[in-house]
Amino acid sequence: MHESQARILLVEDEKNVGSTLHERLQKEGFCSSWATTGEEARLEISSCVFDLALLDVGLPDDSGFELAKTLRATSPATAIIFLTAFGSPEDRIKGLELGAEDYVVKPFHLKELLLRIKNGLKRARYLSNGMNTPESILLGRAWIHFSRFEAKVGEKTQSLTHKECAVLKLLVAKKGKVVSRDDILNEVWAEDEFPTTRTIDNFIMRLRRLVETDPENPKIIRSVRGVGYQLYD
Amino acid sequence: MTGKGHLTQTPNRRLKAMLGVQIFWLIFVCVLGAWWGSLILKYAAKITDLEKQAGLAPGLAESQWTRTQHMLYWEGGTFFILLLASTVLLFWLYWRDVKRSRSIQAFFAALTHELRTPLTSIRLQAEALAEDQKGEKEGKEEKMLQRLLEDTLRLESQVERTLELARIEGGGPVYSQPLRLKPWIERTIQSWRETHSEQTDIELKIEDLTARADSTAVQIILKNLLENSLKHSRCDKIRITLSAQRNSKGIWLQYQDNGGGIEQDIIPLGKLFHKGPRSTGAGVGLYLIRVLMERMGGQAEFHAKPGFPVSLCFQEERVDA
Repeated sequence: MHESQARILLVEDEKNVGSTLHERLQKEGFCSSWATTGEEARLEISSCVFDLALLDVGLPDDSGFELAKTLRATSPATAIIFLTAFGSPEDRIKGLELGAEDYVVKPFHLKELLLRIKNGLKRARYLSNGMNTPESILLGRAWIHFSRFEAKVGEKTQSLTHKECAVLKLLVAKKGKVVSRDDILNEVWAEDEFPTTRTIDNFIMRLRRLVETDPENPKIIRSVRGVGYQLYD
Repeated sequence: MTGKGHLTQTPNRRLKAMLGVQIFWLIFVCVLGAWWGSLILKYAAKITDLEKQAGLAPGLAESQWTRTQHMLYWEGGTFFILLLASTVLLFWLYWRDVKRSRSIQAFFAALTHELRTPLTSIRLQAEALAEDQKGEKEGKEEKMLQRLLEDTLRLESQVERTLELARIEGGGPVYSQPLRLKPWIERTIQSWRETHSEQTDIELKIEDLTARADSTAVQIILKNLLENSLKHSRCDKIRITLSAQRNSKGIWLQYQDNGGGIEQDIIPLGKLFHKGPRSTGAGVGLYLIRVLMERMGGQAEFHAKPGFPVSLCFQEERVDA
């Protein structure tokens, strides 16, 4: 998938904002589809697979959060970026917990939005053909389905965010070898996201809770002190 | 998931404090009244005994004692009921006042929120136009576009400040997490330079340090400081220096410009709606800086000296190698 040929779904009910963004995205070489209501967006989602979706949170007939849930269920590989006038930390957290790549608060800088779109697409590209990893793999107590972005522990299925999936994919691709925190940062995070090494530790903690029987004494994702992590099977 | 953070929530402290003070006052006055009443009763009983010893008819002494008791009970009871009623009334009046002020805050928050969408549209179109005309047309049109963008950003900052003030005053949380200060500061400055590079020259002397902070709050703080310099420094070319040092207290970010600073008489700084006689602002910017820093577990110090130096202390986040 080439970045500029990526299919983008834009859901924005404000005509002036929507049309300007739609034109701009097309000018940048993206294949953009613009929906002004939740209903139109659902029609688009059912008829086409998008690489990235820009979702306005406050829609006249629906909520961007609900649309994100539909997208995660029908097309989990689609990266999601919320565009919203609601900028409180609670809203940001809710958006990111729904598996969104990013949360952009209005009014935004056009260049910054384009950069974030490119970051989302970079990760989606990395996930679709980044490495030679199997479609599904059993890690500890969990079956990880990379194509469906989900983990199955017993009968319980849990969805994985794009970043979680990318971290797991990297560890699986380098199974048995030590993967440094810097490697993970370089491969999974974009340059302008400014993560700290603590960010990686928190991701690993969450992945351990998923795959390990005893996350406090990890046997599958082990820490290599001062360096990074190592995946054992 | 963006890393482990925590929400610092401030409930309506003032309301709780007011309720606490009222309850304390009520208990204190009741205890004092009960003590005073029992003392009076004790002395009244003593007087009755003395009257009996002095030879007053026991029936008369007893009836006087009963009358005294009734009088004390009535007076005490009326006093307690009045006290309770006045306390309830006071608290109700305070509660009504708080509700009214919350409604006003909510109204302004809704209004500014509604302004965000048209602002996005204006900014997007101005930026798209500027992007399209880049290198093609110079002169008057470019200058007008630049002015349009500058004014949109000014309006945007005002909206952002009002919204943040309403959110913080309404007990809104701050999301603190490990944050690399340097890239976030650079991002804000980069965005500032796009519209203000002709007026400002910013020098950064910061190494890559990780603090416990909220990225949005850091950006709001910096934007407020930069706008303050632009508004008050009264220089043709504003030179701003930003440096960071660590000590046992945390990471200290020092901000200074080359302006004349502020007058001593507008101290204390950082109080809500407090502004100097020559200031055109609303007296919100410095207050927001102070409150946001405190919510992140740090502090802000403003100095009435030339260059208006500001020191911001962030909690340092120790990151393992």
